[in-house]
Amino acid sequence: MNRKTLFVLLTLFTLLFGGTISAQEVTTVTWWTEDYVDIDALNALLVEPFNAANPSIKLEVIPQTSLDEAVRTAFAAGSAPDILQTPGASFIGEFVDAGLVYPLSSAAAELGWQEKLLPWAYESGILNGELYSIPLTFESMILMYNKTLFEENGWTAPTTFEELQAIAEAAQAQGINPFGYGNSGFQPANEHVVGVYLNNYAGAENVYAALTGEKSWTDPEFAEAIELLRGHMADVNWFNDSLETWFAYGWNEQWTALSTRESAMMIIGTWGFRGADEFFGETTDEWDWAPIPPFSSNLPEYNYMLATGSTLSVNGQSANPEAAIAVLDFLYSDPARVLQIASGYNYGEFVVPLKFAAEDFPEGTDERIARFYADFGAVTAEGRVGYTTWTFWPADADVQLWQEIENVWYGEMTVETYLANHQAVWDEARADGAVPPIPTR
Amino acid sequence: MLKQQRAQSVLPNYIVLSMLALFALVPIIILFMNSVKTTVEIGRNPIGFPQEIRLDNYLEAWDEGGYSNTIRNSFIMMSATIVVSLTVAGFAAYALARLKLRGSSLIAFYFLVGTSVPPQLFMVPLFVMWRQFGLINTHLGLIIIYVGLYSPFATYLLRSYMVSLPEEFIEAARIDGANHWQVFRSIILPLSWPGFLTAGLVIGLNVWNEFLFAVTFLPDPSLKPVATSLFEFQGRFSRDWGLTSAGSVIMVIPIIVLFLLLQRRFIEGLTQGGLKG
Amino acid sequence: MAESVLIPKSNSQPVKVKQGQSFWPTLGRWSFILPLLIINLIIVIIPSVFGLLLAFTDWSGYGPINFIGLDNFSKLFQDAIFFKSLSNNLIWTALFLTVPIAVGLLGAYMLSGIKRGQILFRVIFFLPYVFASVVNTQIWRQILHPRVGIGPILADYGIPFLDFPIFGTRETALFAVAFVDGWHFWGFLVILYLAAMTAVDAELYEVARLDGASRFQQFRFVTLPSIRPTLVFTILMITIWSSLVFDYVFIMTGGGPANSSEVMGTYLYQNAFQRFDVGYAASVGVMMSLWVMLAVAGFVYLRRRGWDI
Repeated sequence: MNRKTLFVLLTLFTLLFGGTISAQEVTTVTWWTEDYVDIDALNALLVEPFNAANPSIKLEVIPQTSLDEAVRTAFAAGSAPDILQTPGASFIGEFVDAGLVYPLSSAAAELGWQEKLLPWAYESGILNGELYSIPLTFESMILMYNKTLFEENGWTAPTTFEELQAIAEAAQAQGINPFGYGNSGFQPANEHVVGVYLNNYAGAENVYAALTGEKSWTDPEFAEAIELLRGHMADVNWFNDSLETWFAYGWNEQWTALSTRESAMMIIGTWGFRGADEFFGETTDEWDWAPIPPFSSNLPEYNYMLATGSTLSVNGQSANPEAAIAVLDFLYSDPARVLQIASGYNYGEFVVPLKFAAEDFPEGTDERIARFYADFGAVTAEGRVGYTTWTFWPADADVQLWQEIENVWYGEMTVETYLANHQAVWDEARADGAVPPIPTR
Repeated sequence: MLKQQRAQSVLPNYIVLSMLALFALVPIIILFMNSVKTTVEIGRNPIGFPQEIRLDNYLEAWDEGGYSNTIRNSFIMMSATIVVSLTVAGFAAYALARLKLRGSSLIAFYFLVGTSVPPQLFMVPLFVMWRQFGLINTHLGLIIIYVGLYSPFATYLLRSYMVSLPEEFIEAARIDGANHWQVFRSIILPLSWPGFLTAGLVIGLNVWNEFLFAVTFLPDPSLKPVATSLFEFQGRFSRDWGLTSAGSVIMVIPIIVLFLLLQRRFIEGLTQGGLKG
Repeated sequence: MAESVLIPKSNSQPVKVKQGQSFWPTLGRWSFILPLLIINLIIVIIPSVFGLLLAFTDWSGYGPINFIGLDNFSKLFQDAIFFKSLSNNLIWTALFLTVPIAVGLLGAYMLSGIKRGQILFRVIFFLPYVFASVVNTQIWRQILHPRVGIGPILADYGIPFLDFPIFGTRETALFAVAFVDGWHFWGFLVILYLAAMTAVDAELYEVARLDGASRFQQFRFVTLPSIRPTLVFTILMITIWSSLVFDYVFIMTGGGPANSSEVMGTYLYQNAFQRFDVGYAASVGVMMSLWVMLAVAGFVYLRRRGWDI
């Protein structure tokens, strides 16, 4: 016992005093990132090249479990990293309010970031006229489907709501669920469908008007959109095979369903490229994607919803903001490098919203993925964009949106009450100045 | 003791125990089967036998989870926490169980209420304090936290054990002129072995499975404990269930070894039969 | 107050320290408990007080802190979701104070009666408690899955009662999560109870048997009174832990569907980390602590009324 205690004490002392870091001449820049990144790949593709090119700066990227909680705690103790990564735009407002973010407008002008980044993405970081954040990855919602199943049935990717409905009904007649999706393991997945129905039924124009306060969420087009979703979810069972199974399907189940023809389609973000690749890899079926068609005949053409997966900012308390800016600039100045990193996630992460050219994509990029980025660029350049809830909604309104929708689905709350509550949370957020930046349309 | 057991049939015991064992074990068997499947196969065949046994999952999980490092870190923190907690809790339990302390009910109340605050609430203030003390990114800092968190539980467990010890032993020692410390050392400690082993096991297991404090107080990845290895198999929305299952089995093996070691001592302690007088 | 009201009565009396011939000063007695008090004060109490004080602020988690008096509490008392969580916590407590304790006692009592294979059963019973919550929940989600789980299989054999989405049905979600949490927890109680049961004097059983006591009567009149301190201890701990319950609910349902399995722990998390309202979250935390204080005070009261618990 005594010897054991001594051993433990000795180990403790070596741990305490052996681990101190020797002083260094170079400036260290720390960047805490999500723990699901492949840190070895990121070190090889970003950190080492950056450190080699900038001998006076030492970049350290450290994955953190529950990143936002870690950052919050570190802020309280004054030990937050130099580069702040947040899981979404709603955090930036909180950070800026608390004076924790370094303003980037002048650096951006000097380094020409506005020319390098997609305009909407650049604008999404501007709060009260000042640039505070830039998306680390962007994404959009798409319609994925089992291509082999579609071909065998003579279905083609739907371009109108009537076509979508015809396919859904034909699939159900065969005992196949139109959509496989659910929120098991990630309750906010509800907002993926709510956002799509608002955007694709009520139209992005109206959503924009409501985001900017020109319109109310209680207006009839939004009520109809939510009612349409409620019907699909609870009455005609388009998702899995009943409302209740929505809560039993998570990532694994939904991909298994799509790749084994239990379901025909999936409305999902472009992070889904990753799952498609993995789960279809072990079947003889093929997957493909299409833009989500408009759900209303009033809407002439499809658009792409804009979304940022995570954002980058510079810590306002950082001792070396210039060095942190140099890291960001290194990332924004080399689209090919960004795409090489992103390819490691099948373009589900690290897709920095730069103006990519076709030749920036690494050789052998999946045709379907290349097609998405080409079309996304072309369509959004025409201003045909929609808005995802996790990027353009204030935190409170977003939580209300994905949480109370369950009450609507179960018939415990009317669509009118749901939207009235939604408008109330929005009003409150607007009064508090908590509305995230909305790029002008 | 054995003779008495024979007086009564043990068959009903075995029937009940087997049913309980089945209840506990079936899901664990499914977990083992999943640990040699790919994630895609788990999706299609989540509770059946594996089509093909992929032992590679274990190698891959070992590697990706960084287990050689995290197990070492956890082992250091676990053993230190067990030793310190049992010492602190042993003394405290003795005081609560056997020494008439004025206000001991107040102390009991204090500890119970202290364990009722949700950790998410006191984490931030604690972090700020630990930063002042320079204890962030050290195992020592976390060990102190674990001792503070788990000792009250151990104290109560040990106390409940110590109050049921026969009074005569202590009286006898007292008549011989032993002081509190001597009573504790020569009477209470030897007789409370099963309690200490159980408390040590519970504390060890708590430390082994803890990650909420570890991820916050150890930002340096090289210091992270074994429970955080399971996070390595997670994506933004997805999780590699094959590797997660294999990783969780890897994580459990050291605990089972510890359990067997402690429980063997436990049985030995009983067969000495000191208690039966 | 000659005897502690909180601490369960035992068969034996505490050591009497005679005032006149005190061989050890009072400080000596206190020195046994002082280390624990100091560590606990630093780790839990001081930070907790700061944490709970946030209930009187509108802190978002970042930046300046403004005191807003009792606003959070007046909001809380009109919050239907909070009351739903509170009642779910009460249901949870009632479930855990009965089912796992009963199964744990049964397992421990059966184990205490055998020698051969005891260690094997111990390991098996303890296994669910050892595995990480993230895998335990996943296995049960699969076993109870409406499409691939045992529900449809049993239904084929004419046993349809599990053939529905048990986690997606509002009436069953909370119970389903409690079942899975209970499955992983009861083995832990077996270990605690067994440790206590092995300390029971074997002669007592012999006497009972000579009097013709059945197996159940032996349990009722010998085992149960002898392990009472441990039993009371587990009841208190389960009451406290039930107010804190978080991980199994958070992983399996996130409090859904439609808040049907929301507990105070998940509601606190949601306010602190998804809504940026740490002040409000802290007021939920205050209620959790208050509830535990009430429960503990209830124990004190019952003991004073002479209840034999």
